[in-house]
Amino acid sequence: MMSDLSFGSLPGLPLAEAGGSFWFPPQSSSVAAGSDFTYDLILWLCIIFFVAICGATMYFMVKYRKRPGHKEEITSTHNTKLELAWSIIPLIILMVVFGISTYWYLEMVTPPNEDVHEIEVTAKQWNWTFTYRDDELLGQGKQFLVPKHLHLIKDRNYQLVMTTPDTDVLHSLFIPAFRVKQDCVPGRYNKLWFRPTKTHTEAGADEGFMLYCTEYCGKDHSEMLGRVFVWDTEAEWAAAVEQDGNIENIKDLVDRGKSIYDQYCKSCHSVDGSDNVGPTWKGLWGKKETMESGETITVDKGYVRESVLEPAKKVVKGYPNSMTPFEWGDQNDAYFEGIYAYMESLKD
Amino acid sequence: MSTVAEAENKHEALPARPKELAMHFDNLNQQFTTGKLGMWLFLGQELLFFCGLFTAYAVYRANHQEMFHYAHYFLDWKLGGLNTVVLLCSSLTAAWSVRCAQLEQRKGLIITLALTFLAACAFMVVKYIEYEHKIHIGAVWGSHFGVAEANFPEHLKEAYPNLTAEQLQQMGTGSFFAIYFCMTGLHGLHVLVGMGLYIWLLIRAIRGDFNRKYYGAVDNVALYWHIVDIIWIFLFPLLYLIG
Amino acid sequence: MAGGIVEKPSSGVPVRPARNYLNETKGLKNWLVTLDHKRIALMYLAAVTVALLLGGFWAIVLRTELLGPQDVILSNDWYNRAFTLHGAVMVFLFIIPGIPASLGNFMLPMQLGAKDLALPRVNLLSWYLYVIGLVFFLGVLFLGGLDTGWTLYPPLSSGRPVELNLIFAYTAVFILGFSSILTGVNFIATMHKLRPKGMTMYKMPLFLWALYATSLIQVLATPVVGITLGMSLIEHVFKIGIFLPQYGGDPVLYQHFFWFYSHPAVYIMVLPAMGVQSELIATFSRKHVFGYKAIAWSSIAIAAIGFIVWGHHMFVSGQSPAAGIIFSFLTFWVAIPSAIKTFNWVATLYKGAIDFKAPMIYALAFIYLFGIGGLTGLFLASIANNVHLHDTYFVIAHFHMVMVGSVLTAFLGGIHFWWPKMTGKMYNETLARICAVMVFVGFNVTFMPQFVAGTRGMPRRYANYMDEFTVFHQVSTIGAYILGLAVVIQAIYLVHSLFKGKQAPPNPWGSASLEWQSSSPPDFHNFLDKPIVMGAYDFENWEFVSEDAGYVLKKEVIETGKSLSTVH
Repeated sequence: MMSDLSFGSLPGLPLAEAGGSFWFPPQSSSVAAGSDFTYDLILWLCIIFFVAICGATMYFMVKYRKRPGHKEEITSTHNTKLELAWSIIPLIILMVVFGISTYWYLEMVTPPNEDVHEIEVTAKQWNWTFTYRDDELLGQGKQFLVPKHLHLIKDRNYQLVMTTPDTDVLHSLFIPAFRVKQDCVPGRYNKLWFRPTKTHTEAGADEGFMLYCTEYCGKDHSEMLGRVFVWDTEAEWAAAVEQDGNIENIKDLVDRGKSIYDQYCKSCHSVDGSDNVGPTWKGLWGKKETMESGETITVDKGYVRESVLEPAKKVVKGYPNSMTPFEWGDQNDAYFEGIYAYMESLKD
Repeated sequence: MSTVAEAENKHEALPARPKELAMHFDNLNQQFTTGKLGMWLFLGQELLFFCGLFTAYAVYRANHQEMFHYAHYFLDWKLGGLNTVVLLCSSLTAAWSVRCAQLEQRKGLIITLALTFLAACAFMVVKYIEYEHKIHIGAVWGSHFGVAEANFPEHLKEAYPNLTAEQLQQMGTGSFFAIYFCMTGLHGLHVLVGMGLYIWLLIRAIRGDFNRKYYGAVDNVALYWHIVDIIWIFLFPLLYLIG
Repeated sequence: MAGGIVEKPSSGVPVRPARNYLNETKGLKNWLVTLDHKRIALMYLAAVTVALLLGGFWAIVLRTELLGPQDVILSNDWYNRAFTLHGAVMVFLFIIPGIPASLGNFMLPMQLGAKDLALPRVNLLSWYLYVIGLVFFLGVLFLGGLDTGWTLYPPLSSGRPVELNLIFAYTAVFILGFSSILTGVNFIATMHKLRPKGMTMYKMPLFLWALYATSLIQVLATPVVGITLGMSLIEHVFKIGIFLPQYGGDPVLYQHFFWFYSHPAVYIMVLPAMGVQSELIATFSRKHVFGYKAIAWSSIAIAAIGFIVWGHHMFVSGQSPAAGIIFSFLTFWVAIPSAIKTFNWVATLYKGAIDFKAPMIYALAFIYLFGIGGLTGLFLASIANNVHLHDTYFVIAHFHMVMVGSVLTAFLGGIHFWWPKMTGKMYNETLARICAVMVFVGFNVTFMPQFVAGTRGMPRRYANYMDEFTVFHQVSTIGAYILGLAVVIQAIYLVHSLFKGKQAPPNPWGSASLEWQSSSPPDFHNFLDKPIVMGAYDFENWEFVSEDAGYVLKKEVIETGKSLSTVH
């Protein structure tokens, strides 16, 4: 019923996409209808006021244009009743708009009391990671870390719990088809609630709904994209999460390492020898490095593993101690195999 | 006819103006009140300038009550109190200097201006002693904070014998000192500016620039000095006294 | 002769005094130490024009990059620098000081009938502070730019390893803040203390009321951004942990502080523009402005409400829904004084004699552009909509309609309006009209498509974008080129007029505020004689003589020294 609320899409839709209005992508979540309703309401109010203001201006421009034989007339310089009217009437209208908008906003931010499924979101320069846990569907105690892809089941209530490592910067998660947005702030856990009401294929987004970062976060801000997939059944969902999240699905170890590198390491370590926040990986494997403490260490499996799990322990001289620790639970070994193989492939 | 020559004549024909009166004012009173209004507006801006820091203080205090409690032991209320007294006295001499200027007591003016300046110097000396000690024991900002237990102030040791250096560091005590150094540092900067202004006034007073109708500079600098004083009156209890 | 009007000899051409503020003294040195508000205003005008061209250059570069969804001329890194520099230069160096420090500086004492601003030395100091800020920004550019965004949000900004260009940027904004504060202090003191006898607050032109409201914000809001950026600078260098979460700070606190200034700063930009607008509309429709007091007090109301709405920049930052709702409620209130002004301008046109001179074309464009800019603000004030539209191109389009559509339009309109007074020369009216229309068309072509891109989900500050948005960006870029071209043509014909332009009469437009009673360009002391104090919109005191001589005061006004107007 709610999706029927939209009463005012502009007439004439030369640019309209299938299933969407002239202005918006198709409404695909529980909160979209309210947002669009408010938009249409304000749009029509604006059109009325705008036409009135500009219409009057243009009428006066023509009627009272300076021309031979036309002279200005002195008219009254104020009219208290008129002025009060055009102050108070818009104010009343605006207060009504405020009320309606706030009603929908409260709907938007108040999650239902039960049946809410949580998904952890970690935003990092310049990547999204979604952590899935579901004892029933994915297996007891299992967790999958999926880069870029947010998998959801249609008509389920979701709460995203979003954060950013302390050493990272602000990000913001935005899914236009859902009309939702929430900043990710280092050191805070911000929450975002919604219920997908259409699968991505139903909405015409065969490659998934777009997911953007909308808080400027540095160099590759515009590359910090993701896709949202909404599945009809639990089985489809579980298969998709397993497919994306199980690192062992990438059989070639160097490829696996490369994909891990792209996801987690790229923003601070180069692979072409150029200097960045951390040491470059080119030629790093097997190299002797001097630590802050003065000792010399050979970069091998043991050191790499320790540096990923507890980066602050031994920091290479000349680099800041600013790396966040990473950890992949029961998939740790599979991840490290990939990292070792990839680093080894970068040997000189 | 407004020819050039005539225009020039007109300017010359104006009644004799006091040499202190700027071209665009009608009389000295207008000039004085204008300067004073300008000064008050500037002081309003100063208050808001410090407000940013006071708000930051309030937010962090609300978020880290316990830490603020421990941290305040590191500040010596005796030195802070001494500085408060010094500043209050200097405010008195500053106000007095205005009176002297109004009454054209040149000698009194020079003495009160000099006293105010000396009080400001004394304040900065005490401030230096405090800063020097804190930096020496490592009671500084952010992640640089690190005070060994041996350097804990006596009354902190007495009150919390079990408190360790590590605990204190992990609480984020560095934030307190970040705020402390920002607030007192900015205030200290204002005192330094005030000292410069008082030297300027002293030179002008010795030169005999001021008289009963023209003493706006003395008045305005005194106003500035009072605001510096008032800000300290708020800083002292917030930082030194409230536990 | 009373009224400072140069008498009209039998030939019909007015005599110009041989000496004026421009040629009173000569040499660069005399200009650099001048305390004359008119000269300082011109120096400001030159400086903000440099800033406008610099910011405009980056705008054109940005728009060119956005012609295609992938890299066109810039890498991501340089795109980020380009939009940071565009934003920072335009906001801090052009829009904020633009109208008040150049046109305001020149006209405020003249419209009051005073000889100078209250504190001429402070005025010169604020110009020097501005120039130092400008130099620091050029330093940032020289050091390879900055990619933090003009809002300088931590941790992206202060959290990075110490960078000289970031230090420069903080310092620049800090210094520019004080330049702005000192201008505000000066203006308020002048309006309170230097009004000559008979010039009541309600006789002041509405431009001055707007400047008064602007100055209040400058004095009360700017120090907060000063201390915020001061703290950020210290934090950047010493990592003290006020805004950086890594060291125990709170990045959202920075946003509160920053917008506590930067939202009112929007009104620092737009209020003077509204002031100029009131002057233009009244003058070129030859009508006493309708609802004078309503317009005057709505400026003050905007300034006051402007202080309590900053949270609407942070609806999705994680502030509590309750705070969001309150800020949304307050934000709606800003619409009312803005609407009042707009209605009053339209009502002023009623039964006038509307003369489509170039400044008037700008003024009419202002009504249209400000209408769109203001009304689209309602979508963003409405919190249910804001969540979707936040940080998309919808916001970009909205604030450019207000800050550029309205402010730049009013700035250009004001420049054309007062150009004859400031320089004593007339510009080429035909070219000026063409450019005015080009500016109007350019704005619409640039920003209208961005509204649609925004509602469809195009995020701002994106170097690369999805293919579906290409058409909007390409149209927008074409608009930007039209706009850029118009500004360049203007710069050319205005400079040309300085050397080859026709001599301007004292009052070419028949405007009634006091500055038009002075010669063009004015005397060093502004007026040779004390001007006859009259209402700013008493157009009936002036009569048209000829194109070359412009308008002159009617005989009976000069003889009695009183305004003929009966309406007040």
